[in-house]
Amino acid sequence: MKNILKHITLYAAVLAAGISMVSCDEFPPVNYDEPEPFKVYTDEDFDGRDFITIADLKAMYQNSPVTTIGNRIVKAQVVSSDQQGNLYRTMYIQDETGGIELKMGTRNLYNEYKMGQWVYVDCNGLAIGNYRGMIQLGYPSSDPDYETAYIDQQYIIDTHIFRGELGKVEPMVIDAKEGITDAANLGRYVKVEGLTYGNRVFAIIYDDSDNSLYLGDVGETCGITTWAINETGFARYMLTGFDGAVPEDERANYSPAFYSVSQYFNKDGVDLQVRTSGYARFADTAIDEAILVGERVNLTGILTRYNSNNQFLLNDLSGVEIAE
Amino acid sequence: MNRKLLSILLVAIFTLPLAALAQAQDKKTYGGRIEWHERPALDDKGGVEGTVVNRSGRLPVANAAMSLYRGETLVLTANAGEDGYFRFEDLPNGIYRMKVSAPGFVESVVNVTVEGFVKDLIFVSLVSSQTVSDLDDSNFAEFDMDGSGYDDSPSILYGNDVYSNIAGYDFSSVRFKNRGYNSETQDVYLSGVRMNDALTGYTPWSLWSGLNEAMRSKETTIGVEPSDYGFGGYNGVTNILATPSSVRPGWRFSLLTNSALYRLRAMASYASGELDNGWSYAFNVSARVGGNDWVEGVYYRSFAYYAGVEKKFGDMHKLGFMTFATPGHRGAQNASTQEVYDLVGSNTYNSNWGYQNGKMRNARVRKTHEPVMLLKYTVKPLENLEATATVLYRTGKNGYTALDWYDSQDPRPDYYRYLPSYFYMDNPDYDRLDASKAGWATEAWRYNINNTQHINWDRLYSINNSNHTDIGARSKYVIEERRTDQNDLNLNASVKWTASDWFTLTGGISYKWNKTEYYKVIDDLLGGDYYINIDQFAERDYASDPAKIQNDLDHYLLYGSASTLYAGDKYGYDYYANVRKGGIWANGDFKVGSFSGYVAAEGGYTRFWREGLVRKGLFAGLDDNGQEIFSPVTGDLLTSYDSQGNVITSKGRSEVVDFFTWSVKGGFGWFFTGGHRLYANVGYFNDAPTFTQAFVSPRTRNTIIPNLTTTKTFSADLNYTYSNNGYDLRVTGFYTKINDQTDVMSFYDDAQNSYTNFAMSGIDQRHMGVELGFKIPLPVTGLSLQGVLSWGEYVYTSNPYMTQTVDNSAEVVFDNALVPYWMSHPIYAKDQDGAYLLDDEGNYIVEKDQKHYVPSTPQLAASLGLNYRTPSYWFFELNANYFDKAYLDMNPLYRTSLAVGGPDGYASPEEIEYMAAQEKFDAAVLLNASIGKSWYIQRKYNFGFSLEVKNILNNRNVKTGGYEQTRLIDSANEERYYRFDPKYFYMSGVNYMLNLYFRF
Repeated sequence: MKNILKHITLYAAVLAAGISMVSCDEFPPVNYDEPEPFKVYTDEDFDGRDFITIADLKAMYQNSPVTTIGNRIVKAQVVSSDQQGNLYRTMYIQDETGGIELKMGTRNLYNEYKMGQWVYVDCNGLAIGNYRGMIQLGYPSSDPDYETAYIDQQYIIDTHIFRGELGKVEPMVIDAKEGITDAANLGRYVKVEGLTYGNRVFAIIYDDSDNSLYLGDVGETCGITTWAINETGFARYMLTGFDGAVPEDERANYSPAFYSVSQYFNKDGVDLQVRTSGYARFADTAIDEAILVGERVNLTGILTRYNSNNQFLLNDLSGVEIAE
Repeated sequence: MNRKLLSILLVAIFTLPLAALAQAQDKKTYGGRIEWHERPALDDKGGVEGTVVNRSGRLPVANAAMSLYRGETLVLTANAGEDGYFRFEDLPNGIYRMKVSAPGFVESVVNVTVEGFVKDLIFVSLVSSQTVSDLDDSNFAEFDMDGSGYDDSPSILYGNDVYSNIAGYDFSSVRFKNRGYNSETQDVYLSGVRMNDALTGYTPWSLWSGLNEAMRSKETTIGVEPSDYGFGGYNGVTNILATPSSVRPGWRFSLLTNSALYRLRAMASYASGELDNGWSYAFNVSARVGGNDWVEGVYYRSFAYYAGVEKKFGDMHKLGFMTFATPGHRGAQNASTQEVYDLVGSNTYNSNWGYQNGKMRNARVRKTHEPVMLLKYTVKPLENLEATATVLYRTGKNGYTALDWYDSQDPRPDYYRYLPSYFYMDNPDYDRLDASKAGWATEAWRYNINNTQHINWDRLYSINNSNHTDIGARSKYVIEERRTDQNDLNLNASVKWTASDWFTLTGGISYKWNKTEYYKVIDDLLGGDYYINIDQFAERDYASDPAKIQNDLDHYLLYGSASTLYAGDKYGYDYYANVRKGGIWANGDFKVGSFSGYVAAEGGYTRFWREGLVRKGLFAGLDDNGQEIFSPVTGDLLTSYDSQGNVITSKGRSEVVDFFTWSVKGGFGWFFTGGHRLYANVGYFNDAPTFTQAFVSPRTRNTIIPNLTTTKTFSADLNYTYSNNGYDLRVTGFYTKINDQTDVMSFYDDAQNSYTNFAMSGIDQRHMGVELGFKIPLPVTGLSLQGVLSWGEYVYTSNPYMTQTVDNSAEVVFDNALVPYWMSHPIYAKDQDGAYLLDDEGNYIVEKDQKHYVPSTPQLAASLGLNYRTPSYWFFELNANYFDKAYLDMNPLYRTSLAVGGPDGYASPEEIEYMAAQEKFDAAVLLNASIGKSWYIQRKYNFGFSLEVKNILNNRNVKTGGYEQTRLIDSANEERYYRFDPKYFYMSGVNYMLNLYFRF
């Protein structure tokens, strides 16, 4: 009997040892504590670093991309949102001196970079370049067709872009046509007041054999009354062949697709193209009838340029208001 | 149909006891054969009788080989009967030695004294020769195949013959599938009820894993052979007895720790055995907890319980009730690409988890509690007639969690855009040219900077927390739980009638009623306050019409907005799968002298339909009055139609699919003196497709796949066994042709921004090969050499048709299109420089057709080992395994003309050979050893251990499975496509398992 007890004791000891061998990490808890939110960076985190204004940064660009910006920090506010899909993989930031496009490269940026939020950009290792008249801040490009590349890679983002405090940002009011053409305003969050609809579009569509058709060249608006064209809208417009711009016997050659559209607006004789992506959530939303018939309208968004064209980027449709 | 079957069953249940009024005879019949070697003297004679049983479960061991010696003189050789019973009469009084051996068991020697009468030894028990084989579902990691479109359901090979015993255990580490067959071809019965899942056909091992003691007693057949419990298919029948009287009596405790599955298993069981008052009861509980040394994030927190009680009324009636379940959580393992494994430096890297406040958290957790209850009635009205009726009910929850996200970045760490290869590839035709960014990515991965290798829970919480809206924080990331909650009722009755010495008839009827709800619920809002019930995948395309993006259109039409979801709320899809299955079968066994044979037939009826519980905006169908539905926002028609003009519906009942099926099989065999047996089986099977193989997109609509038909299978095998004096041998040759299979694969495609589904029909396969198992005693007592070989060729023999649909679109991408490179692809002739050769007419020369193989199992598997046992209960085993000819699962897309042709539509020889090829895994060699000892104390207490070390060579490059991603990459010159890298599962490196047990 003693022998048995001995065995049982041994057995129990082994059992106890077995249980204690199992570390706590291996019994995953059913409940997890909520983690700490993102660290909020402040100026203190960049003590001793050189800050540079956006205007100065943009001024560094002469005729070719600059990949040696040096050990400089840009402190700026986020002024764009890709929530509505009109911006894709990119965002605009601005300080008091100007605005610039920051080619982040990742999607759904609005989740992590809120409108008005302060960000610190460590420019060391980044590049500035020019794309069709717009100065951009991005990653040095390995593609000869572009002067900057998307930053894209999370480790680069984590070491170059730092989230600061949330904040508010008010658009800069432009109430004279000179404000539209002033290069210093490019990339800025602005409210352009007193625009009227220009009764003209610019859009290129492609048939199934990749032949292009410049819609603005054929008719003035080609019946396009939405901000852009998504697949649903395309199918609808093709019922009339974009008001006859596509001959009846060629309409079958087109498959529904997403197309950007530039809707022309006018401020005292200066054209402003409101360019909207076909992937924007509001692409197939009709432009308010009152606007189409010539009511004055105020637009809030980002002022941009494409070659010599003044362009405008809406974050969302709250940026469209009919003037009082 | 249901009522008819029910009434037949009820009649059977009530009439059988009445028929049982006749009294049982008191003498058993001995169905074995005796060959006398020495004529017995006719005075002072007696005899011996008994039943050969296996020690673990007291199950009869059929046809055990027996030799009786008097001194050194061989008196007789014999075989016990099918029921294990033997009876030798007319033996002169004296002391005899009786050697008993059976395939898969250790030979046993019993001393018997014959003294004038037929002595009843009651039981002669044999110990299974496989000592460590404690094989159940938990030997297989929970492979996370979700979102890939592939299935990986383990098949477990049990059996008492020398081949299955060794192969079943040794080959499980590479997820060996016997003869290359799918899991659903293996029939698994529990207490006489077929348990294969009503919806998938898979063997539901997880329902009872961890209840090893209660479920230990099994009866198995291999290949085409029928069983006493059911007709079976062509991949064997395993019946787990599960009755309390089949559980080995006494207390048993065991503690198991291992380094490749879970850290600890503690188990206790008790069985009363049959008490004098006719009662028997048993229970078994266990806990399996912890992770393992090889795959991080994988863990068990699984429990198991079993309780059973049985009462014998007189000699005739027996009633038993059993219930069991295995509630718990099980963290799953994910497959990654080789690029990821190389970056992390481990082939067992798991991308499913991350640290949350320093604690490991796995996003993919199987959460189940599916209790099974069964009531079993057995009646033995006559000695030669036995009938059973069983009611079995399975219910409960089966959940599987996953991350779900809305309009935010993919949270999976190994998403392809986060890898170095997304930025840079050596081949410039990929147009991935940024070596610098690839360098950053490589560094982040290699050194796990900012936890790049894992899910960043902190980030998900931060994003959810900061997404403020008027009614709180709207979660962008949540954990969803995909539920498959079954209600499965089975009625079963079977009869075994031993009509005469030479003829036995078994038969039965079965009916299955299954209603399963598929839906998902919000499991965790990850710090946010709510989520919204819309189809985010449809949102981009239908942003201007909110009616179209609704998961629950009726709710939207009623309230004007999608529902706001909180933890525990149902969302997404919600539908019932309804399955009804009835069957009737009979098997006639005959035995004349050394010749035996059987003929069996089965008829079946299967009927199933889908019943949608929510109306999806994209597939609105008709309203309750049969009218078309229009969007309240745009006025557009929401009702959509397929190419045949039928309404596509998501809510309500689908068309009811039904199939009548029939199957037949037969076989015969000869016993030769000296332990030789030769036997053959042949069968033709007609099987209905399963629910999961029948709908193009069951989550979203009622549409049934085109060309849905029964699977037709022909199978035959020829076998030779030899079992004598410790020698065991089986050699089998088999041939199986499977035609007209259907399969539906569903996976998340981020290019389509949705789930996409491939429904294939007309898949044909041919499986043929040989099996060999042997055990040879060596000159040292207790030492034997054992080995198995499974060598086959399992190939596809047809090019199926494929229909591709996308969950967020009514458009059919491929409509019943041929997959021309599925069964093979051409290899073209090349010159010495690798340039393709042309014939006189300018065509490329096809050198040969490269066959494509049935994947995910080695088609060549071998094991050779030494087994040594001492009389003092030590055992040692050392074996080496070799695996080869295993292939990767194929996806149909890469075998289409579209993928092979590329954007330019021209399929060059190079493109064909690249795109259509099937990957063959490298061969693998493994070395395993085990040691064990058990002590008996006062013949009452038994204490012991076994220690097994697997993969001693620490081979970490053994692929056990994987799948191709179903994505294409455009080349820079737009002439061709490239594949996405495949994902693999690897076997663990060196690992141990230590089992301690105590029994009394």
